[in-house]
This record gives sequence, C-alpha cells and structure tokens, in this order.
Amino acid sequence: MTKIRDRLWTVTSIGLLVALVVPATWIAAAYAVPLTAMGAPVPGGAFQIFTTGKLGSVVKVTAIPKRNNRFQTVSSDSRLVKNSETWMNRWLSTVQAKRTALLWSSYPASIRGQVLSSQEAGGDPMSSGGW
Amino acid sequence: MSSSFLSTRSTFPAGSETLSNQDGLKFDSSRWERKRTENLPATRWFISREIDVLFVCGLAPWLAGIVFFLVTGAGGAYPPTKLPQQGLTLFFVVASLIIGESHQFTSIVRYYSSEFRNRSKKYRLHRVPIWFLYLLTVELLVLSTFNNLADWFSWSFLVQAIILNALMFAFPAVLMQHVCAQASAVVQQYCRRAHYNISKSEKYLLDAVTWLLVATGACSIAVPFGLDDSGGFSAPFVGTVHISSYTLPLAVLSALASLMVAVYVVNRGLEKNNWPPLGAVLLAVNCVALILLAVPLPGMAYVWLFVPLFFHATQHWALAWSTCQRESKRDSAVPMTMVSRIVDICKFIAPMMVLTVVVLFIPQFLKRSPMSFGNIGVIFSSGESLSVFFSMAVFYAHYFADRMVWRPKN
Repeated sequence: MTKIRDRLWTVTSIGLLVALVVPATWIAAAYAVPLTAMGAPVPGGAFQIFTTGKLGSVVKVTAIPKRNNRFQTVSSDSRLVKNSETWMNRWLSTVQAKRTALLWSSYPASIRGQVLSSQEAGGDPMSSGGW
Repeated sequence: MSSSFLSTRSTFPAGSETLSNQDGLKFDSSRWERKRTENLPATRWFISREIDVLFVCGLAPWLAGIVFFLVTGAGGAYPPTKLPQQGLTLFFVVASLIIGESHQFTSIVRYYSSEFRNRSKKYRLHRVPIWFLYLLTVELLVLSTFNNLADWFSWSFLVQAIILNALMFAFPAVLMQHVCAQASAVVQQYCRRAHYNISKSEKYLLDAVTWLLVATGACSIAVPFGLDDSGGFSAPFVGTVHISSYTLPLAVLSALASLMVAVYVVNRGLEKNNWPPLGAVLLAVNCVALILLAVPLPGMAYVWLFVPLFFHATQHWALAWSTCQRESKRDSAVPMTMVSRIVDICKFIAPMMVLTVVVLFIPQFLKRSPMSFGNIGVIFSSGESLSVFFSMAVFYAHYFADRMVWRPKN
C-alpha cells in the first residue's frame, strides 16, 4: 500500500513539475520575444522595432511625439540592435532622470508592461510602462 | 501597521509581569506564554541562514545591483559589455515575473485555503476591499454581455470611478507602505523566533519609524501618479506644493528616528544582555538604507531594480513556504525523502505559477490573438486597459489579503 502511495506521489509530482514548466516556458517566451526583437533606440528614450534589416545596419529613426511635441522633428541615424541590449540602459537612464518613479518602474508588473509594450518606464501607467 | 501581515500584534502581552535577573528577561509563565512558546517555529531562520541573509534580509539586491552596475559600464566609466548585458536583462525580466509577479498569488491562494477559511475569526471588515473587487469583476462580465443594463447601474459608476482612481493614483505610495510594512513584520517575526520580546510601546516605536520611512519614500521614489510634475500642484489654503521638497526633512527625521531605535536597542542589550537576532538587525538596517540612500547615492537605481524582486517578493515566498511547512501535518520524526520534498515544493509553487499565467497572461494572449471572443473579446482588445485592470486587481487583492491571512491563529 505504501509503495502504491509513493508511486502515486511520484507521478503526481512529475505532473505538477510539467504543469510548472509549461507555463514557465510560456512566460519566458512572452518576455523573450520583445526583448530579442531587433530595433533602434529613438531620441527621447523609446525603442522602435524594425522587422526587416540586419543586425548592426544603420536606420533613420524619428522620435515619437510627446505631449509637448518636443521631439517631434528630431530624427537621427541609429544602429539596429537587440532590444535586450538597450533595455537596461534605457531603464536606467529613464529612472535616473525621473527618480520619483523608481519604485514603480522596478515593480514586476511595470517591468512586464515595459517589455511587452516596448515603452519606457515612468510614464503614464495606462499608456506606457503598464503595471 | 495597516498592511503589515504576519504578527503585527505585540509579541508580549500588556498585562503580564516581567521579572528580570542577570540572564536577561524572564517572563511570567502564564498560560498565554506556554501557548505562545508552543506556536514558535523550530528555527530562527525562515529557510536557512544563507538564503535568509540573501533573499529575506536584503543582501541579494546589493550584490545583483553591483553586478549590473559593472556589466552595464559602471555608470558610464567604460562602454557596457554587450553579451552579458543581454543575458542579464533576459534573466532579470523572466525572474521578475516568475518570482516577482507570482508572489502576489501566495496570499490570494491562502485566502481561499482551508487553513484560513476554517478560522474562528472571520475578518469581515478586512474582507470589504476583496468584496469590492468581486463586485467589479461581476459588473465587468455582466455589462460586457448585457450592454443595456449599463443604464441601471450608471448611478454607481461615479463612486466606483472615484475609488478606482484613488487606488490608481496612490499606487506607488501604497506599494512603498506594503514593502516597508512587510519588512517591519518580518523583523518582528525574527525577534519572535529568537525569543527577543518586543513590548507594545517598542512596537509602536517600530511602527512610527516605518511610517516615517514610508513618507520619505512617498516623497522621493514612490510619488503618487500626477504629483511628480516638476511644476508641483496647487492645494487649497497652501498654494503650490512641491512634494519633492518634503524629501529632505522627512529623510532627516527618518534617519534620526532610526538612530534613536538603534541606540535604544544597544542600550537594552547592554543593560539586560538581550540582543536582537542577526536577521532582524540586517533586515532593519537594509530597509532603512535602501530608502534613505535611494536619492543621494547615484548608483542606487541598479540596486532598486532588484528590490521588488529579491527583497520584497523573495521575502514573501520565504515566509509563505515557512508557514506552509509549519502548518503541514507531516510527522516531523519521519525524515523527508527527496521525492516527498519535490512533491512539497511542486504542490506549493504550481498553483501560484498557473494562476500567474492564467490571470496575468491570458488577457495579453487574447488581446494579441486574431480570434474573436464576442463581447469579451472587445474588452480584451481594448488597449492596455484590461491587463492594467487585472494587474491592479491582483495587487490590491494581494495587499488586502496579506493583512489577514498570515496572522497567527492565536
């Protein structure tokens, strides 16, 4: 009886491990796709994703207009890189400039929003950075 | 302490008498004391000394912050190293969800567990915010299916909007309070485990310091949304208020109050030969340092990147695991096999992971999916609003559940 119970537990534990690994892989993939996406840093801190082009090639990017239209006409040449390469620098430069949102910007739900929406930290919670 | 979970009550009853001798404090051996001693965990640490020092007391964020600081170019001292930076970013972001976001479900799952449901105390007032979340969920589902019913409920929308906007507006400050209150509660837990008794007045002192730290954080690194504009905001009778101008006075006050507590603890140690446990001291010092040094120390952004993950979330996981182990009906005389340990870990972690994916990622998946899901699909595809709603609901459910589910039975 004990042997049967032990085997049942073993089977259950393997099942639970599978149940753990599958969603974990999905989560990892959901995060990894935007982070491995190729693009270029935009003046003002955002990251523009390019679906075509080679890694390292130079593209022209135009800043996404902000509320005050400060960066509307700014454009520059930028090198195509992986999002993960610039993500950390972008995060750091944003929170250095806006220290008042440091806790919220490092909160896991906000990190999820920043990665999935490819937008910078510290902005409006409903439109950029997510929760 | 409003959101400090675990034992927020004094660990020493107000009415009991104390007798002191040269070995330190001796307490009246009352019925309460015997019951309390029986409820004490067997070890001083939640998991083990090494893991606790790193992930509960808060050493890990400092170490990880230093690694990231060096890998990303030491604040511009040299060009950032590319390959490790990508790897570190991926590691951090994935860990952020697996450890960080999922920790919220530990208290939510416990809220519905038999260990909590079968308690004699019902916590009715504490449950009101959770019931409000139920109301919002039901309302969202009903109104998305039967649009015509919206007119019937329109009178309540204003009240709901005010509550939701207040919750959204105050979120960073609430988060700061949550982090500090948890740290304070864990300090008290360490003291309780080490039989370092904290009187009611000492607990009030600890609460006062915690609230000062919360206020400092709310004016410096966790400013409520909309109050952080550089132009300030206008308040009645006061004029234009710049919230950041309160940072320095509050930081000085917090530092002085923390110093006062430190002097008091050293004095108590010297007088009664009764010293607080290492875990409590490390955690308290770390909590104060993380908040007070966040603004003046330039490299603190690297450390704060890991604070929610390796200070707050891992702390919560360790506490939940420790509580789960203590409450399990397993016969402690029988040694655990590897299989039974794996089963225990899986049984503990799997529900939280599955819930994290279902609640936080299903909306993202449906939003991006080309398939139509009827009226529900319309809501899912409406920008970021649903994922924001779910994230917010999960955080506040976790926040309010925390206030009751980890309290000791007695």
